[in-house]
Amino acid sequence: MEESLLIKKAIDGDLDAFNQLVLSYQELAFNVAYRIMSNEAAAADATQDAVILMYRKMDSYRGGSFKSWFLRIVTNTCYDELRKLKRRPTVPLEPETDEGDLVESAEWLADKSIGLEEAAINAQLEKAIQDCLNQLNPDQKTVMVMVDVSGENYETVSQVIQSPVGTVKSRLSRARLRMQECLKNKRELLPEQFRLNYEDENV
Amino acid sequence: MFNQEKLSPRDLELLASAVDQNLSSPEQVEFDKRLGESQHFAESYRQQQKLKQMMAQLPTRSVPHNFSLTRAEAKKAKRSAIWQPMFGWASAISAILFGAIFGSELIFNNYSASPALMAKDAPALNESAPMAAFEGEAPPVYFINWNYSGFNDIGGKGGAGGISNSGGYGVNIFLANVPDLAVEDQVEEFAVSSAAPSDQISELSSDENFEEAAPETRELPEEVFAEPMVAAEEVLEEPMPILGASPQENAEPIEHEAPLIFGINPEKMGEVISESVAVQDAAPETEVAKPETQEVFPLSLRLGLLISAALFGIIWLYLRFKR
Repeated sequence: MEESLLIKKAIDGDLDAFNQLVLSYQELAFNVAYRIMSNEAAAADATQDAVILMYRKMDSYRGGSFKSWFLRIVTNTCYDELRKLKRRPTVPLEPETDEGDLVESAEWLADKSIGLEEAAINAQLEKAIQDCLNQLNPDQKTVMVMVDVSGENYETVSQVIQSPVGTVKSRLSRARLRMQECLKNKRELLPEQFRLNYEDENV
Repeated sequence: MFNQEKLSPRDLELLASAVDQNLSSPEQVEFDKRLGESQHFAESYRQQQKLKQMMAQLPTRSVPHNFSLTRAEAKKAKRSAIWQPMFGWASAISAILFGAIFGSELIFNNYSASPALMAKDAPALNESAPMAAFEGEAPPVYFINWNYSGFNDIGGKGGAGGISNSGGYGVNIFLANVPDLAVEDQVEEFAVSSAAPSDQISELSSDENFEEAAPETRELPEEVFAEPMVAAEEVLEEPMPILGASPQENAEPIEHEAPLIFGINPEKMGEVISESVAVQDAAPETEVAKPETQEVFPLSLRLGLLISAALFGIIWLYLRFKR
């Protein structure tokens, strides 16, 4: 069924039409939430809250890109959750070794399709990038995640953050420069092929 | 070393567009020009390309579960969508009503308190009168003598306290807007026309400042009018300002009737009612003021509104922030 028809039905209160829209965008929404929250459980909660909020606010949808509208709700919900977490920090219930050290429960350990070495490289890379993403301010982080991780175009991102395309470009470029600086400090942790070359920095 | 300050905002936009392969034709020309001009710019472009490739390596997470809503969840979501704003409005309206009542009572009390405050401030205002009297700005003090028949119907203020041989009644009423201190100073100035010393006047109430000068009609208590009578005789010895002829020469004996003064009981004339300032004046004031301070809105109503505002506000906050 066409998206515009689904949207119209959802606005009229058709739950099935609404759920079809949710299913279309839930993976994108969850991945954006995950990169912003950097925690799967928190990202799932934020996505679910965003879906509920979207259902309540369907009447206020005024046309335009539904994806952008949904992603705006998701990012706003994520930053609301992050603010709450900042006020009430929580301790994750990670398994511990006999010595009391946390057992790293990396996602790649469960993935049997790739080799252990490749999985370890991916985990290191992901951790380094996620750490650097977390150091960006929310505006830069949102733009960086949507363009470089989710592959959205500038127009969609500009609708999500409700700013001109020029602002998206400059924020993105600043975010990338900061990421470079951050990853330079983690150079030893990165796989060889992903080490940024700083030999000629002082040229 | 990379330095963000060396790249202008335009450079940043060009870099982003180039890395994402989103350059227009004019931008491509501009970009190529900048690439040839600045090595920093060229190095930044190269690093950002590598970073983008790196970011693209990040794995996509699969959703842990579907985020679609069940009928029950949808119903709950809609219900809370109704209740939350409702409690919010209820809290706001209660708070506004409470504020309006509190504010109106504050204003009402201020207005109703103002006459009392004026009465309270009145002595303080009068205290300034003596100083004003010294400066010659004191309000005039009048002695009205109702016994003075006038000359050719010319009566007036400040007349002598009755002519002894003309018979009739003399009523000395002292009118002053200033307290006794001012009066004492003024008395000397008006000694010619004054029928009673100021200290005597000040001790008497307005009802007692009544002099019946006709000896054939009534004997007056000596302790009250002895001094005024003496004062009147003294005044008579002094020459009076006469227009044409003296009143003794021209005036025929005229029978005077007692003036009708409402509020004075002739049978009780001359009786000393009180020698001190009535303290009981303060009591009626408080009695009068009491109904003004009555609460327009009952305490229970105000408390109810306050509690409602707080309760609805808490419920609204709970609905707003609960997961």
